[in-house]
Amino acid sequence: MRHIVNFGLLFAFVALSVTGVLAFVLPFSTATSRVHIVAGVGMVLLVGLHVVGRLPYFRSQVTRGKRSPLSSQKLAAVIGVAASLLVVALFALPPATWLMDQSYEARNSAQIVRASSLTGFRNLDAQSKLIVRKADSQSGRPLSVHLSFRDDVSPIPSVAVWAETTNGTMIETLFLDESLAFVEKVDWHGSLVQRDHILPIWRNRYTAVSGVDASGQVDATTGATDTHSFALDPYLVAGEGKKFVVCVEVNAPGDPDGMWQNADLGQPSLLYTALVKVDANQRYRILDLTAYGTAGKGELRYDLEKVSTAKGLVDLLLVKLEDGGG
Amino acid sequence: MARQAKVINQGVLVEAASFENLGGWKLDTQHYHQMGGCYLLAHGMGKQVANATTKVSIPESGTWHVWVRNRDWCKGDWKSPGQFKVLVDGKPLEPVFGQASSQWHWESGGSVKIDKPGTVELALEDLTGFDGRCDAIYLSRDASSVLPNDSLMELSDWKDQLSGRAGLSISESAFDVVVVGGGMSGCAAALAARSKGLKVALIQDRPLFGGNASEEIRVHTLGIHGYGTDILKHIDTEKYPNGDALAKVDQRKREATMAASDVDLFAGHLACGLEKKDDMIASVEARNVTTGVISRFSAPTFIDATGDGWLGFWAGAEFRTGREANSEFNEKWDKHGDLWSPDKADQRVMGTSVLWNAEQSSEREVFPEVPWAAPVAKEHEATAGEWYWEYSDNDLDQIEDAEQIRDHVLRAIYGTFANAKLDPKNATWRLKWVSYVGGKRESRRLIGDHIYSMRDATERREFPDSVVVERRAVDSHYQRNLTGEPVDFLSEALFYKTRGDYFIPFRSLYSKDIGNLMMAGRCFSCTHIGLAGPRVMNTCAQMGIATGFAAFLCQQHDAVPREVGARYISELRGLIGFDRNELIGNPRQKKSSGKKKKTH
Repeated sequence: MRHIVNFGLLFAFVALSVTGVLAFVLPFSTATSRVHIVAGVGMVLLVGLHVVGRLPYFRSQVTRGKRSPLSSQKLAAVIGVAASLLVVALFALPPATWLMDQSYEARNSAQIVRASSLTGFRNLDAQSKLIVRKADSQSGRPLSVHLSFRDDVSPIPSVAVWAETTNGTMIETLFLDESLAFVEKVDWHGSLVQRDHILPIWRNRYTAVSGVDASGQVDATTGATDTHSFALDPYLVAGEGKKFVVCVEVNAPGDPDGMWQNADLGQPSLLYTALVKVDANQRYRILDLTAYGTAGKGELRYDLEKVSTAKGLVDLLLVKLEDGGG
Repeated sequence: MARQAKVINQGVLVEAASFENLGGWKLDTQHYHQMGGCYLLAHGMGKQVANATTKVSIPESGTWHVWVRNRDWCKGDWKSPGQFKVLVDGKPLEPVFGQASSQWHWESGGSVKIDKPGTVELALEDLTGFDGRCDAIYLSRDASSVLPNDSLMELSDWKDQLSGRAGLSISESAFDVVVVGGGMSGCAAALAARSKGLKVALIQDRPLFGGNASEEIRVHTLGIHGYGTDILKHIDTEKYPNGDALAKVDQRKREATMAASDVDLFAGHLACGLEKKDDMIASVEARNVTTGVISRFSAPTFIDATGDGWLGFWAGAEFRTGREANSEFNEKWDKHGDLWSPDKADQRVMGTSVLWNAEQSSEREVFPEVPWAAPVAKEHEATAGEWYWEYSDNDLDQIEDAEQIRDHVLRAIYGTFANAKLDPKNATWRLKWVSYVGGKRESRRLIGDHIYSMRDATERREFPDSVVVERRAVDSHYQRNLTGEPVDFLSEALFYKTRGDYFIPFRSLYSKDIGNLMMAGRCFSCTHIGLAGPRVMNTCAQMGIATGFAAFLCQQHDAVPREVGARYISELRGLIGFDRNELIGNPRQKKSSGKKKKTH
């Protein structure tokens, strides 16, 4: 048993160390996190077995009293060091802050996009996804967006979902494909592509509210913060005549045609929109094809007749307002 | 060449209608009888229009004080929509006009220094594109001038004095028949009378003929041709969507017809009064809408095709407005109750429509914010209007409040379109055309020897003096807000099917009070519900044909219309084609496909 525990601890230690370093220095990865968590669980079990196997040792240390080789000074020192590390970590004191500043998340926070903690999503099947945005109050109406692509569409296009004002100012990003959420230049189905070439409309809107330009740098001229602080909650409150627009931008890789001949990018991203009136009786609204994007730019183009097969990717995009109650 | 302004009492009056170059401003003649002028309207549909300019002679140097007659057409807690500046020799006067008072008024524009006598240029500069309006500009050496405003008679006299028109002798012309109103009814009346060799004057306050069918209003013509297709086919319209630019094609056809008819045409002449002898009209006076100069038209017979029944009104003829109590003419329809005909008479009428449409481009089109329109438009969204964009109210008079009614629908249009533009899918839509001329359905109805009512149509009564035939349903409108619609500018139509032809007697087409006055069009002698069936333009034009031929018989027999009806009705019916010609439906209308019936 001891050998099993020892080797198990070795393997868990290696896995935890490697995935920890990867999580520290690289963009977030679901696979890395998964291995790290599984290794962590294994480590807990193995350490538990190890501690159980060493119970006689702990008992003897306690019963030997002053004869114990672990003096009270040493014990106090161990506890003191442990407590100090805990305080430093808890209250973000140096050197814990310095250490954290070296992480990928800290070094690239401007590029990382996360939805509100009130937002969640799940894949309904291979072609469909449901995004739910809860309201933060009883008077707010929860919102959900159903995304469905046609059966023959593979791979599923990259998607961004956000809400914006009727003036076109982004309120909140509700969903962004994980592969695009952590870095400006991504491996997009085998090619390194800038995020603002994949979903240029969303990326431009995001710049306008976050102040983070397409290169990931905080734009000094706008004076905007690098935190995406606009929130949808005030817009979800019923009884105040609130209106906003739900936008979905989709782009499939490698779909060139006669007009759009870049082999990697192919046809441009497409923007679907729906005007949501919170007090209207209409609970469902279908998002309509509205415009297409221009790689690297935020401008919308409306001459949609220039786009060919990309217009056939989407099966249904639907936004639904629930009755309320958070 | 500079306009030769007359200087009286140290003042120079420049009426906006007389501007040499209108730029993008429109000459609006619709409300002369309510506010005392033909004014310029900056109808840019949200885009600033080009300056209107004119030159005026200033007789002496020195300081001149300027007044501008204008109004804020939509006053409220917002930036007034109809703002404009006045420029003198390119320099703007200090005030921004169109934001002071909701009533027409003279507003001081401060003073300007004129260095030497001679010509100066005046300009109207639109600041908003939303229907700013200016009636006149007055320059005076006297800083304390008190200008006539509230009394339209006093204002008219004063304008005539300052413009020098008061000193002109009135040109007088004699005709066999004078037709006032150049819509479908008036055109048909003039053509019918002329076809029998009468010397005909046709007076029309707009620059174009056709009225509601004109390219200014763009309602397609409904109703049957009856026995008048030889005339009507030259002036009617195809059945395009109401508001469609195809109205221009039919306008060309109509203008060519009228130009070739040998009728004496007085387009751009606004009837403004008449002279009576005993119970007869002796002459009618009309102003040139740009110069204001009055001409007098005398004739033994007059046809009131004004729609608003102006000749009868001025001559003191009895008229009706609003809805009769349903008991008065047995017009009750239980199915729709008060929406059809009330138990107690009121002033509700079918309303005025202002048609409009929009188009898509391939670019994002910006439309200005219109907070002043929101109280009317509310949450309604649209990118085009149709016949049911119609406004009336029990407390509004379709004549006295015509400007307010038109403006109300303009607010509805702009606000509704702005609402639609909030949706990104409408980003490429832009306003294409918004009429600024209201298409009226109902106002005064002059009373004849017979008051045409619902039962005449629904029981398909035949009269020995039938001169008009129709078969469309009795089609009355009510405002949807009466049944809970949140907005007040949309109407609903109710159809009472007649299941066959019905007829209008000649006794409904002449005034019972004014011996030589006939009526053609919606001011004929009828009840509110009686109007609902025959009020469409082909039917009204049939009335025009009947009265035009009757005018011929008046001349032939030295008779008044009542005598024609009593003694020569067979002759009149023969001229129209009754018992002789084939009865023609509406050749522009496709055969019924079982779809919902269209209405206006």
